[in-house]
Amino acid sequence: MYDYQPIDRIVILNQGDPSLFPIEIDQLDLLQRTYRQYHLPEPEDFPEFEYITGYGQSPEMQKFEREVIPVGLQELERAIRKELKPRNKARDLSPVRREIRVIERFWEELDSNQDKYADEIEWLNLMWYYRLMGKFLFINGKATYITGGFWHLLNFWTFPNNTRPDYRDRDRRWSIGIKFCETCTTTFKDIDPDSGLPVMNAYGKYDMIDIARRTIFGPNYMKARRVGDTSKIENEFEEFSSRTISARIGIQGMSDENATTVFQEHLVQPFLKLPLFWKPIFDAAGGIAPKNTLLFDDLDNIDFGLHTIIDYATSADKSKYDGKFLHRFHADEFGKLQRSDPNTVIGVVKYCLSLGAGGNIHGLGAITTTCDEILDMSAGDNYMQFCNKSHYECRDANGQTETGFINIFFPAQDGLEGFIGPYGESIIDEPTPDQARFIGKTYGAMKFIENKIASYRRAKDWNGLALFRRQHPICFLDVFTPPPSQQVLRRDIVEDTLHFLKVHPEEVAVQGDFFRVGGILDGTVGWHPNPEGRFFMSRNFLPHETNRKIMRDRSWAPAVPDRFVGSPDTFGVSKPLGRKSNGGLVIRWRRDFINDPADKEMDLVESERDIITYSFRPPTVEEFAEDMLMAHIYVGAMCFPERNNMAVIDHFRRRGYENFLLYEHDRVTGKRRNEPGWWNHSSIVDEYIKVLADDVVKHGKRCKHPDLLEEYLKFGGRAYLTDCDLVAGKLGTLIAERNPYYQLVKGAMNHISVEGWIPYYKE
Amino acid sequence: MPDYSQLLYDPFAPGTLAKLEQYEEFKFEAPDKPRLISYLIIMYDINSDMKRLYPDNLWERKRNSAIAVGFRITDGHFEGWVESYLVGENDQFNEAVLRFIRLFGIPDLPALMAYTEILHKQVLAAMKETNEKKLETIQKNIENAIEKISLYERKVYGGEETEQARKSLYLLIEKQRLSLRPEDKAKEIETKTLRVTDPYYGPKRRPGRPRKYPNV
Repeated sequence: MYDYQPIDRIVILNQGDPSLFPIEIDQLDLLQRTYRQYHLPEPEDFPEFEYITGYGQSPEMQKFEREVIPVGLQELERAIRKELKPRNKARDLSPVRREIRVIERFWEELDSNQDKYADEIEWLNLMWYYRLMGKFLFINGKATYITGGFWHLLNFWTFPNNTRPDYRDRDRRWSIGIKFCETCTTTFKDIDPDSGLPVMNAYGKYDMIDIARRTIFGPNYMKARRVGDTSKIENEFEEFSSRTISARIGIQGMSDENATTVFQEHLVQPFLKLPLFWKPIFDAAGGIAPKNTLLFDDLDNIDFGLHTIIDYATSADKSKYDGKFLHRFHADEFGKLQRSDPNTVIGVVKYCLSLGAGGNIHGLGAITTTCDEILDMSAGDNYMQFCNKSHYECRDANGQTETGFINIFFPAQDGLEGFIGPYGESIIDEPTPDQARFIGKTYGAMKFIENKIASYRRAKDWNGLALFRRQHPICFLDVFTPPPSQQVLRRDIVEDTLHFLKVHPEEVAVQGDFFRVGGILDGTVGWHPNPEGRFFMSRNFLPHETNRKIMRDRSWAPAVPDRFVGSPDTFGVSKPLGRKSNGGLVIRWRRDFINDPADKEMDLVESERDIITYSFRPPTVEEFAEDMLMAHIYVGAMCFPERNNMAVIDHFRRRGYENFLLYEHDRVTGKRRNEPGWWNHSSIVDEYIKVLADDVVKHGKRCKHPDLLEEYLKFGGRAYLTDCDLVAGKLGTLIAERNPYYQLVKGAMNHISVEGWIPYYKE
Repeated sequence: MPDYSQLLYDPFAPGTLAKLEQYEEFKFEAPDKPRLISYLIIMYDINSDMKRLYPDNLWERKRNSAIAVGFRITDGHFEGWVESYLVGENDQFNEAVLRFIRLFGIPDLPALMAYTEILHKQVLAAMKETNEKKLETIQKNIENAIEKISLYERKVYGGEETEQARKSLYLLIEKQRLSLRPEDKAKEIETKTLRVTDPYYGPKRRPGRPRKYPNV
């Protein structure tokens, strides 16, 4: 007997993306909820192995296989079609009437010959089970669950190019995502009322509670190009509508043409190719291929039929479905809306999918979009705003996100064509020998994408590279990569520097952690290189250069306060309901006029650059603040934090490091403000984004921090700050640079002793 | 007042036409369709009085059925369109008749009806025909039809008991009608009465080896 692996209890979506909260889906719970949807007794566990399809086979033989329609049913259909060929009396029938006649005759024959077709009827019964509940099967020795919608897609749906979908593990998780949205009634148990973010329990986990009403309107799928998500949504919605009485389904695209394409190519054409036994009676008035509306009704006999209608909006206008009652809604390419704002359109539509001011959700929406071809920058901005309001973890007191939808992102390397293994698995990293033989390559999808990016960089094709990144996003933020013409920072310099660092890895900042030597809480801070570390550092400190602090007014202060300045950004920047962002820190080495006098060539200047970066989210804010404190003590930097969040400031004060905090000073009077740090508001940010752009031009080539450079590429303006923690920190250091404090301290420093001062030596 | 409770459909009830129109074959246009459908029911229902009153003469049965539902005879003839329906010149109506007969769930009944029609058409043809050879063929057809009718009558009307049993059988079939159409499943889902064959948890579960179906 073979050693099979049990089914994974948990499926995780958005896994590994630094900008997204991972969504954990319990597959057993999902199965139970599916049974509950149909008022059937819920199973207590997954089925036993011996009842799962493929049991008894060797793992390497266990691949997905399509259902085979019994010959009896195929012959029956053939005979009926032959009988109703357009000749003699059948000549008078229109094609659609003939099709309806064929369907009727098919069921009559089965009905009146139940003994003859007993096996076929049993098969059809089984197909109905799979369609509604999903199917269990073994894939390469592992028990696997696929949802009913995904099963329907794989077995009966066709893509617009007339091909049949193949089994992909990425699509399995995708379909679990949409089923989860349809059935989920949970939210986070403990939510911080101020930030709207969930709070962990004592074990570092998030508790969920069931509030017995749906909490999610649907998924917001940001996708790579040509992955078939549009067809998959249409399959899901057709599957639902063709077994639901009096349902209303709407499709809206970025334009009339786009919606027509979705309706015709992704819905009607595959519908017509469905086997007879899945087709409900549909309206003959629209002809064999309905142009605008697919009506599951026979207008000649109003007593019969589902009375269900699928149509599409002829524009992206918000009023198209305003006031309508919808069961399903598909918004296609909403990341590219030109004259409408997706926030407004979805804001209208979500009340079509629910009652009670959005509290009682009866419908399901789905958004599928790529973000390439952004001609109008506002399209990207609006959609980004929508995404920022759709983060899974940001819930209101009713358990919903601000938009009601949740972001589900699959990076381009997951399911990339040409990098799919023999069992439908995504080959992201280095393939196994078997996988390599199967795909004919010795590298995975990630390497392939990196190679493409490198080739764009070599060719200095920044436009092409920006487009490629948007079309093949490897992380959530890539979706919003602005084209060079609309980029705030000089893309060519940044890309060039990244390329240089790739070719010269010895120049790249070293990754590591700060720690308290000997574990003493207020002891000396040490640096420990660690490839998994939280910090990147790009300056070599001599032993006596570190931990240089002095006690002044019963509080520690940096011994040389004008040498380094850091700016931490504590978990989230400006949005009250933003994503669960990382904490960020940038420490800048200010211009050292002794080593780098004003007339020195810029390429040879060692200072006036960033030397420490940090983009990480520790379990607690306390831990983050301690990380910040250690970094500042180690290099002896003044700290100029963003004042919107006081956590770091409070921590420094509590630990006796008040004098490490940098206050803004009035340029005229020299008086300092009441609180240290800078206040993040639009006018300051906008002004300093321009300063940042100048800084990139001037010093960008000397940056040794790929994490910061990567954020520069994604940065498209103030709206992006929520997701660009390092850029926020960097802005803080630039604001600090212009603080009149440094003019004041310059004079003061003339009178202090320079004994023990050690100049910087490059190794 | 005649009792129509024994019939499959009440020929004069207001909802009868709508009920029958759920079948594709009944969706046709006719000048007086409700009356025509009434005629169809009392003419072809196996429990109709007309069958008992006119067991042998099909034309007599047709004529009296038509009169019973209200079609008028003027100068010895029905209206032209009525006559065309009665003598089987309208294909759509013929299909409706065939569909109606099949509703009884008795496999031999359509054949019996067909041979009865053939017999009467052949008898009419024999009266007009003068060609010896053709008469010989017609004669053979009539003999063959009589034989078949006799056979199928024994099968279909083989005694009160059998008929009652068949009726019960029919009712059973009606109860166990397949519920596999999307419309049927939609109704089950709507009424929370979904029936599915559960291969994993239900009593009909089977080991999960790849299934082989007959004829696959």
